[in-house]
Amino acid sequence: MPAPVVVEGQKVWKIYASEAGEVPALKGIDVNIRKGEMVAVMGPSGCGKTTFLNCFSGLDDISRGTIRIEGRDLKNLSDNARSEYRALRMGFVFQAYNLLPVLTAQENVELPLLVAGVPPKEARQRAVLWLKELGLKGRELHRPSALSGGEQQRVTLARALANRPAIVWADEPTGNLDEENSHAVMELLRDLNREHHQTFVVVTHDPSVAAGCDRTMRMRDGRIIGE
Amino acid sequence: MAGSSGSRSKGSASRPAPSTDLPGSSASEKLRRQRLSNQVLLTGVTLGLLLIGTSLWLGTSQGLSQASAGLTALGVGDPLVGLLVLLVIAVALFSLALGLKDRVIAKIGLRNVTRARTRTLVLLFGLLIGSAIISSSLVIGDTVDNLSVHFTYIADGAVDEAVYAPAPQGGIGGTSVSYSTFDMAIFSSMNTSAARIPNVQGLTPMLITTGSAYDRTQNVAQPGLTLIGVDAWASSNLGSFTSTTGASVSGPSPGKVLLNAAAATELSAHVGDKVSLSGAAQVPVNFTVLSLVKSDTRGGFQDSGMGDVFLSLSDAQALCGGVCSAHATQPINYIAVTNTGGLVGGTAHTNQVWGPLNSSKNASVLANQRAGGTPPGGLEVHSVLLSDLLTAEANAQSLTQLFLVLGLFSIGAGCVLIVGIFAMLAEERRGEMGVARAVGMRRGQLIRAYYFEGLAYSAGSALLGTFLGVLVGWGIIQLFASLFGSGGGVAASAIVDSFTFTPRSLALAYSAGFLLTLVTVSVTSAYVSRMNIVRAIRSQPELIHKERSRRALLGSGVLLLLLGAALYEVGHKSGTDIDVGFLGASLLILAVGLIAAYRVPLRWTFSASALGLLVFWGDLQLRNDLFPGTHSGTIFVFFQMGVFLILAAVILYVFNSDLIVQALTRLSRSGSRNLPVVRLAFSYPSQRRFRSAMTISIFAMVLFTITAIAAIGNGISSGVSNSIHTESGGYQFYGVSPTPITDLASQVQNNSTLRGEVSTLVSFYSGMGLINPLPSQSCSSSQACFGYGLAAAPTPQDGTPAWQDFYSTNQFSFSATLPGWSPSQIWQALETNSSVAVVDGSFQTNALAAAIQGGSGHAGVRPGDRITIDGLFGGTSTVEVVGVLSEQVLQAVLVNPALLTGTFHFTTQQLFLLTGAPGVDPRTVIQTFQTHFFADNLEVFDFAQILSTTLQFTNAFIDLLEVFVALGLIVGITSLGILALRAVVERRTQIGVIRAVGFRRSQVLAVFLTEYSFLALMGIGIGAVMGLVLAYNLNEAVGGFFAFSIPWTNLAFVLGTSYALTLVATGMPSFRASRIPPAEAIRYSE
Repeated sequence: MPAPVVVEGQKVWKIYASEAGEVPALKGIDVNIRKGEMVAVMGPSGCGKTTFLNCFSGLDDISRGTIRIEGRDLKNLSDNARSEYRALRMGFVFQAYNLLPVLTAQENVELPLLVAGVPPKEARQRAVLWLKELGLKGRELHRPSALSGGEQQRVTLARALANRPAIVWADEPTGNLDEENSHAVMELLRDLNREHHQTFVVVTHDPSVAAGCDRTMRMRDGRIIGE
Repeated sequence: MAGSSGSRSKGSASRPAPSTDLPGSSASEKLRRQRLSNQVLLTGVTLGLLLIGTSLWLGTSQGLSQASAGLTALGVGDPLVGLLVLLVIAVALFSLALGLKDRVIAKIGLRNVTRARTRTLVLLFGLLIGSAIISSSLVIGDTVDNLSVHFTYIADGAVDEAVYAPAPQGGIGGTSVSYSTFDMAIFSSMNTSAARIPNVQGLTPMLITTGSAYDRTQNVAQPGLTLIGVDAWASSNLGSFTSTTGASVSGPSPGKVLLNAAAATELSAHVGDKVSLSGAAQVPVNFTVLSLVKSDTRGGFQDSGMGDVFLSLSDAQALCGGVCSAHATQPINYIAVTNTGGLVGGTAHTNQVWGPLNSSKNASVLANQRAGGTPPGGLEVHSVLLSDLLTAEANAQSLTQLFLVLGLFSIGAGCVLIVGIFAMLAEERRGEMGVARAVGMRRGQLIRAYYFEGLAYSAGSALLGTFLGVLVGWGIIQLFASLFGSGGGVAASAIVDSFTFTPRSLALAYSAGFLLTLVTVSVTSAYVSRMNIVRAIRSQPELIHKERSRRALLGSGVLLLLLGAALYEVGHKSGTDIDVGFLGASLLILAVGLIAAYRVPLRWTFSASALGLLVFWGDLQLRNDLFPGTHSGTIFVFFQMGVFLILAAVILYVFNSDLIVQALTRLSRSGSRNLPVVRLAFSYPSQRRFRSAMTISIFAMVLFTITAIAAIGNGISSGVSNSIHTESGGYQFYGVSPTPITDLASQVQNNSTLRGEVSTLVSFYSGMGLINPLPSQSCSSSQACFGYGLAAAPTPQDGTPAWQDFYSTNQFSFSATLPGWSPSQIWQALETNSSVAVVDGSFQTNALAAAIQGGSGHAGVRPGDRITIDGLFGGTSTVEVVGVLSEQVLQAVLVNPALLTGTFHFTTQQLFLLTGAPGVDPRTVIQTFQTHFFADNLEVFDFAQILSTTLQFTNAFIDLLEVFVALGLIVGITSLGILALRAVVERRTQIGVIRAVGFRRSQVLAVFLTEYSFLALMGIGIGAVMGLVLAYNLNEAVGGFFAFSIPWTNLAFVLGTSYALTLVATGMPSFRASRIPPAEAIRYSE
């Protein structure tokens, strides 16, 4: 029996208004992603990969069409409801790590847990555990500026996974890493996916990253041109 | 392409052209226009500075020469303004040369100005505060100067010089004749010789005395009027009187008087009223009011505020009687000299005419003596108008200084804001600065680029600030007029009409504001330009080289130690420079911390230094112990105190902010939903400590002044309120008379009307004496001697009713007594023992208190001390001080009545204390007594009325100062506003991240508002607490002159308003931050 669809998009359009006129970034795309799948979204720069991630994760509004996440129509969710949903069911990994520079590694990981209402003590334990699991034992109290790029990306991963989200959205997770670190991070994502059966949507332009995923959606000019 | 490369420098001709645009193409044209606009901007800024500097210099010289002929006679104008304007011109020339030498760098710097217009406007607004505060202080000074000059001209009129001899003071009530009389023959002789003195228009003889008037038509009496005896022909020298209806009035003529507006108001007089006047002779004479005249430069002459009565010279001589004619057959006591050149121009000749006039006076006095006359000693030629104008200017300068010192905190806050703005700019441009350095730009060039940018900001903001300051000054003057107008005898319209500003003030404000901003910008630029290129490009924070930092701290510590020790020693040895000693001690405390930081963790050393500063500045006794003996300081001591207290508190915060944040975070754990908000909100201030410290300092400095003024004002008001009991001794009124009143108590007892209006009435014998608090030294060798009042209540005889007995009715309290002596023992000793005395509160030992109380204090006298008294009319006695009163209203040494009347020969009574009968209106008591004793010139004052007036003026002045210093709040609000605006840009991506992890909009808003609230409340808290520390210290320093108390209501309003304004300033940027769509925020890059 196939796993249920957790991300479903129908005729999704995203159109940006600019001084030069309207610029469509997504042009009526249809998407189905099943639970536990690890999907890569590939394409050249400017094809709409990041817009795809932003819209399907609920970080951005769409212009037309429908997106359902775990059966919920994102359009029908208020801003607060979307925030709560992100806190409880989603995790994000960004290319530039985007850790909060004033918080320690541990505090960065604790943050989504606390937002989700996890008691402070438990949040701390879980953060420490995740950092340990990702090989950052002893680096918990360091601030991002004191960590290497690979370490920062692992903290980002810990932050994204600490809450055991149903879906993890990763935007060029290896974009700022060297080959060795890229490989290690992808191995880690793969292991976590297998272990926790979470859905991973990885936006990338790196074929080797895509090769590590269950399937690859290829985008060009705002459309999905094949898998 | 040829044209394109041709437009470049020769050196680049062989290189490939950077652009393929043809000449005249849009890109090439744009580039050409941009280059041209940069050149125009650079040239404009420099030429503008040159023009402004030169025109202000010229304007200053002209302004000064017009304002005061005396000052320009010195030939140097104002050295401070000259120096500052020259500096501005020098900076302009230097900048021009620098810009021409390195055009590219100048272009980069100036182009940054126009890079973001909104930000430039915000920056200009932030930078103009210093100039605005300086400018407004100077404008206030100019206006007060103008007002003082206005009233000086009214008081002196056309009298440029005057010949008179001050009369010796006859007693506590003074004398009705302020100038000693001499014979008219001296005037006649001088008048003849003065005709040959160039630039003297004429001489006018006068007899000026004090007296009372009783308007019989209106049934109103008024003592304390200035009676001016002058003949009608004097108008040719002094100008004509102008009636209140605007007509020219001649006079006065015998039997008729002119009343000026103030006198007419006091008497409710009208033209044609019958008035009786009483002078020193105490014989009333009837007159008719010829006209009511304006209190202008003729009718306001020597008006003490009570009013002038102009009467013919012969009438004035008759009113004075034997008191005036004892040594002169035709007595006068004042010769007014009018120079040519008109009212304003006359003083230009003062220095020239004084010498010949003095020779003429000497010759006339000699001739008078030879003719058998007895002219008084001390008859001198006085440069009246010029001297009074200089005094008026000095008074205005004192007020300017007060406003400037109070404004110093706002100016300081403005400087911190400038540092903050530029540090923030540098942080924002760190990446591009790193790239610039990477492609070969030297650090010096980077600093110069900032210098040019700062130059443009400084020039623009100083100009805007100077004119904004004029507007602020205008606003303060309007407030001044509404608070003080008419209450102090000065019409609100006169205050408003006096509003003015001089080119000197504008030049000073512009130059000082410009240089202050530029220096701050330059120093900050030099600091922020130090960077690691790679870390700058990667936007990573600078690494701290601990060893290098510690060595730098050690070096600074040693320097501070040497400087502090030197200053401490200077202050310790000097009896006058307490400011220097305190500064030295403070630097020593800081130096110890810096040196210890070489080996001890920074938190401990800096915290210890900060605590040391707090203890030093918070404990008056410690400071007194460190600097024993009599020291005097200036108002800058309080500025120092504020700076060091705030510095200490901020240092404590900076090195312990993590502990504060931890504590606050723990407090919020009860509601874990708020924890992420609280954690994030507090993390920024604790991690960005430099930025936070600046914001806190700015708020603290402003709130410090506001709180200190509010607390001091509240204390003074409370002190004044409490003083009614202290000063009055349980009586309701006090009466003084410049002429003796024979047995006033019996007269009251025998008059049922008078008796019915008072329940107590005590009289004093009074006189004057030379007090020597150091009997072991003679007054000729000691500077401690001073003239002071003497008073003694008569010893009650058998049958003296209790209501006339001072010794049993008074409730005066003592601030110090002989050990074990009760008040009743002291009064009993005074009544019976000629070798004891009681002194008033102005003899308290505190010199600072004395200075604050208007300089009436004297060298400290304690119970048990002996003082020697030399009576004005002869007699000497050494007495032991048995008590020091708390009151200061009597202004007298109280002695035994037998001593005063016997040894010192003071047998007249001119001082009285009264209490009204129950249910009688105080105004009725005053009017009844003044009317009944108008021939004796009795003037009665109501303690409660004096208190009310004093309170009204005190509160009004405090309100005015509070409003002025509250202007500094603009700095605080601006700083947080800029910080908030900047944070929204700087943290845009982070906002996106926290939204992605589930923060709601309201939580993002809460993060920002909590952060700014924390910073604002820290600053407000530090400022308020330190302000109270200063007020408490000041109260202790002046020996509890005012009652220290925390003005809760006032404070709550001020602090609440400050916080509310903070929320307003930061609310909009915070709201904007919360509304940024998360995807857009994450995508954002500056």
